Amino acid sequence: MIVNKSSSVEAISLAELRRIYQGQKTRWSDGATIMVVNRSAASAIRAAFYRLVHNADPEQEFYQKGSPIPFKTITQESDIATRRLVSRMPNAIGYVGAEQVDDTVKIVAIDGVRPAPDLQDAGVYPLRW
Amino acid sequence: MWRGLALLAACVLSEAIAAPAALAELPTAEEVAQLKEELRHMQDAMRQMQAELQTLKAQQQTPAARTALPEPVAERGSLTERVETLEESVKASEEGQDSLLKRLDEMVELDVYTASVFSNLTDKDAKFDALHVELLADAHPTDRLRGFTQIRFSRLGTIEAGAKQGDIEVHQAWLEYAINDYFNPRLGVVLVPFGKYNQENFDHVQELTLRPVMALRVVPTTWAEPGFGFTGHAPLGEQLGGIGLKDFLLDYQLFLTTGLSADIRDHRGLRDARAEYETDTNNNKATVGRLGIKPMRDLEVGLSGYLGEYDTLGHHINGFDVDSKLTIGPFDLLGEYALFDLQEGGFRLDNSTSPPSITTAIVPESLRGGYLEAHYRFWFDFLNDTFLGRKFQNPTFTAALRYDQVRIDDDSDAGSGPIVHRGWTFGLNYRPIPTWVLKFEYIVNDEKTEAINTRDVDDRDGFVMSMAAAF
Repeated sequence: MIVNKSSSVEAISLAELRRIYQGQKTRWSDGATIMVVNRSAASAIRAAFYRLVHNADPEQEFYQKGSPIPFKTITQESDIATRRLVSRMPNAIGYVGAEQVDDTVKIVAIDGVRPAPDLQDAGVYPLRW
Repeated sequence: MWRGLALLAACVLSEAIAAPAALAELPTAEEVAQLKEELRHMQDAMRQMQAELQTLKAQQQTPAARTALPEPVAERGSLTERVETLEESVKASEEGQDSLLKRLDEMVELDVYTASVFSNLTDKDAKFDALHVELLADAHPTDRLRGFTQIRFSRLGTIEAGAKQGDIEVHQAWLEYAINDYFNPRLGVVLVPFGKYNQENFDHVQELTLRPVMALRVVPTTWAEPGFGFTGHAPLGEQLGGIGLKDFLLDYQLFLTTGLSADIRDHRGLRDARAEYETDTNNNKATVGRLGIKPMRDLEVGLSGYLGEYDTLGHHINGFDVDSKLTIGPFDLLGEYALFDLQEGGFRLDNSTSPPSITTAIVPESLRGGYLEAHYRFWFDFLNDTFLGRKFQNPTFTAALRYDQVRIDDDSDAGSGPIVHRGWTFGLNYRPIPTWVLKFEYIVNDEKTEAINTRDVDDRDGFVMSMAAAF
C-alpha cells in the first residue's frame, strides 16, 4: 500500500483499509477526503487485493449505507500509473507491486508490518500474493 | 415546515455548490461524459508513453541493447531527445489528468437506477409495471460537506392527484457536515434507520423482486421522513489493539423525525402512517436509531428502536427490530424481525381527508413480522462462451429462497380477526455485472383471516420477473 509522500499516514490496519476501499471510511484523520485509487477489475493485482482485503471477487461493488450507487474509486490501468497518480495527489492511497515502489511515494505499514526490502522475506506483510 | 426546511436545505446546498468561482460553470452531463472519455483516452496514451519510455530507458542503460538499436532517424533526433520528449509528454498528460480528476471531483455526481416488473399472479391480469426511475445526486462541495438527493419517479404514468398512475417522491434529500468517524450531523429527508431492509431497499441490490410483507406492512419501506440526527462508526477492533476481533466495528444512526401518525389499519399496517414532509399530526417527535454490530468481516447484526406517539393524546408507539446477515463464501443468510407495539385507547386518523380527521375506529395493538432469506451464487464455466458469459468478467447466477411471516392485530373495521400472512418466494437471478440484474421468481402465499388490500400482491401466488440496474 502506498500513499502520497506528504501524507501523515504511516500505518493502517487491514480492517481500516477494507473500510476505505468499501467507502465506509472516506476521510483521513485531518478531515481530508481520501482519494481511493484502484486497479481495473481485469487486473491480477486487483483480484489478489480483493481476495486478501475483501474476501471478494474483483468485480464486487460496495455500497455506503442508504445509497443505491456503488462506492466509486479512481481506476488506473497499471502499477506505474497508480504510483504516479498517488505521488501527485496529496490524499491518495493505492496499491502496487513491491517492485514498482520508489521514493516518489510512501509505503504504508499494514497492521504494524512493513514489507521487507527483500521480497523473499516479505512473508509477514498482510498484502502479499 | 419540513418541506420548507428541505427546500431551504436544497437552496443552501445549491448555493454551496454554486459559490466557488471554479464551479460557476458546472458542465452538463454530456460534458462530464466527454471529460471522462477524454480522461480514459489520456490514460491510454499515458500507458503507451510510459511503456515506451521504460523500454527506451532500458535500452539506454544496456550497452548490448544500445548497440542493437537502429540508427536514429534524423527527424526524430537522438535517443536522449526522444526520451526527453516523451517525458515531457507524460508530464503534460499527467497534469491534464490531475486537472480532469479535480474537475470531476468537484462536480455533482448524477446517477440513475431503474426497475421494471412483469407479474402474473392468481386472480389478477398479467401486467407489466414500469416501477420507477430514480435520480440520485451526490455532491461534495468541500471535504466536509455532502449533499445527497434521491428522487423517485414512480410508475411513469400520468401524474395526477388521486389517480395513482404515477407520482414523484423525494426519498432522500439531506445535508451532512462531516466532523469525524464517530459523529456526523445530518439534516433533511432521511431514510428512517429502522432495520436493514429500509437502508438497502434498492431493486438492483436486492436478490428478489418483491419485498417481504414485513417490509411493506410492519416496516413501511421505503420509509423516509424529515429529521435531524447523527451518523458515525467506531472501529473498536482497531482501537482495542486487535484483541481477538480485529474487524469489530460499530456503526450507528440516531435521528429525531416527524414520526408515524395514527393512520394505521390492519390490512395496510403502517404504510399510511408514514409522515408527510410538510405537516406533523402531533407535537411529538419520534426517536429512531439503528446500531450495527460487525464482530467480524462477514457478519453483521443490527438492533433498531423506535419511540414515539401516534396521536395528539400521547398514546405511544414503540418499535424494535433485529436484523442480521452472514456471508460464507457463495452463501448469504439474512433475516429481520420487527415489532411495533401501540398503546391502547387511540383512534385511527384518516389522512385521506384534508385536514386529516380522527375516526372512531381503534388502531391495532401490535404489528410484527419477519423474514429469513438465503442466497447461493454460482456460475457454469461452459456458459463463458455463450451470450450469457461472453464480454462479462464475472457474470453470476444467484438462487434465492425466502420465508416471510406477518401478524397484525385486528382493528375495528368490518373484517374481524388479525391479519396473518405466510409466504415463500423461490427466485433465480442473473447478474452480468453487479449493478444489473434480471430476476425470476415464484411466490406462494398462505391464506389470511381477513381480506388484504387488493392493490398489493401479498395474498396471491404467481410468477414475477423484473429487471433492475444502476448506472
